[in-house]
Amino acid sequence: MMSVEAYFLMAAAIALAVSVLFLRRETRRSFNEERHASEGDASVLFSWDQLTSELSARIFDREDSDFVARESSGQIARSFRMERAGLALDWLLQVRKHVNLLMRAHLRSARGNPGLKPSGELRLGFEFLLFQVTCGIFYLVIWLVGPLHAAALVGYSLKLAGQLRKMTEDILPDGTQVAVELLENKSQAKNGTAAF
Amino acid sequence: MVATTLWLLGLALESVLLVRAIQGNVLKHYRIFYLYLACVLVRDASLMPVYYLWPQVYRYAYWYCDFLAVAMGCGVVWEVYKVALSRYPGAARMARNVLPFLFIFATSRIFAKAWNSPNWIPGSTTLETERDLRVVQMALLFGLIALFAYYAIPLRRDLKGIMYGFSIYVAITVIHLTFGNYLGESVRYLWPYILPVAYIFVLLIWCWTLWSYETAQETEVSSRLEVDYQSLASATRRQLRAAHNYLFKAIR
Repeated sequence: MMSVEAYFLMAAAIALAVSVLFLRRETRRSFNEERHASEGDASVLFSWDQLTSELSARIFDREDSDFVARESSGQIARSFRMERAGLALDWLLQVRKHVNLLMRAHLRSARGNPGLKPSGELRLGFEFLLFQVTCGIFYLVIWLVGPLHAAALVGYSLKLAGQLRKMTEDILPDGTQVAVELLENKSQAKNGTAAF
Repeated sequence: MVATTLWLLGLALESVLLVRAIQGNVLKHYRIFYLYLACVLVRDASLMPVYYLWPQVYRYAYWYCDFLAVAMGCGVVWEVYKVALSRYPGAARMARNVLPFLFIFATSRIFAKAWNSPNWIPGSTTLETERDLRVVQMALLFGLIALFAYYAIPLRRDLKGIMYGFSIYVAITVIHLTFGNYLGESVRYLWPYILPVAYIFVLLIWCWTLWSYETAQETEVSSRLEVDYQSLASATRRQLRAAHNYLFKAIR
């Protein structure tokens, strides 16, 4: 019985806290409404170009770190790694900020759009949440083990995921493949080149 | 003595709110809210003599009047939704899809209880019945607030005041009705005053935010408003996936 009561208290407390938080947030937002509008539109035009990709990839590359380790003392190498970790975390926050602005611009447009599809919004919201969770995990991993080990860990995870997918494809019958084979047989039969 | 003072203070504040609304011609903007307030004022004023002259009848009279107030409270939530989202058809559409789900979710518990106990309605205890109805209100308010926050809906001060005041009152009522029986003797003597004090606090919030009516700010300027939703959503999704890929490509 008490667990139900605790549930009610928790729900009420959350509602109360959300009200207060929202009050603060809304006030801040109404002050910056115009600024957000211009930033939001700019974020939509933001592109993840080649140069940005290369520079970002450099943060997680071993090359610089190995060079510093080879050419300088251990203390300098350690301080370099710390600087790199800080840089990587800042970069991650910047990417996240851009995506937040993009989403804010989308929501600003969607809220006034009579053609809004709730299912589309939920899907988009889920993808946004997934991005935020990914960013959070990356942030934690970089903060804990540094950008170089984080890159190795991500690379290993992706490789493992790829292998698992390949294994699954090998074990399970591939519906698409069967369908394609059936279609091919059908067209061959039409052209009179069927095996039978 | 304290209870009577709080009672009179509540009556005074409710009257002030209604007089200000009539003076400022605000009634037409929040019809249901002021009707709710007027009902509460009439209830409080009429229950006062009952309390002192026929205390044995007071309990029944109070609960039956209170159910009317709870029902009208749902109307206040509906009015908040209508007024806040009148200029945002997209967000209003989302609310029309999300709020019924929350309503069904919250009321299903009441129906489940009623189904299991044939004597449940009007309540194994009246407190429990009121609490269950307040939980429905709370779920709807929570859904609305979350939606307003997600879509960053700009709210006028008066609407914000109505919504937060009402949310605080509903939340405190749920806590009050839930934990009333679980307190030790040391705190129990304070318990009857918590809800009236909270109500006075909420009335003060309403007095502060509804003292003068702000005219609507036409700030909704968006260059992408005319874009159809499908292309808007797919463009955002494309950008989101690009960001996701960018992240992995850089770190790998």
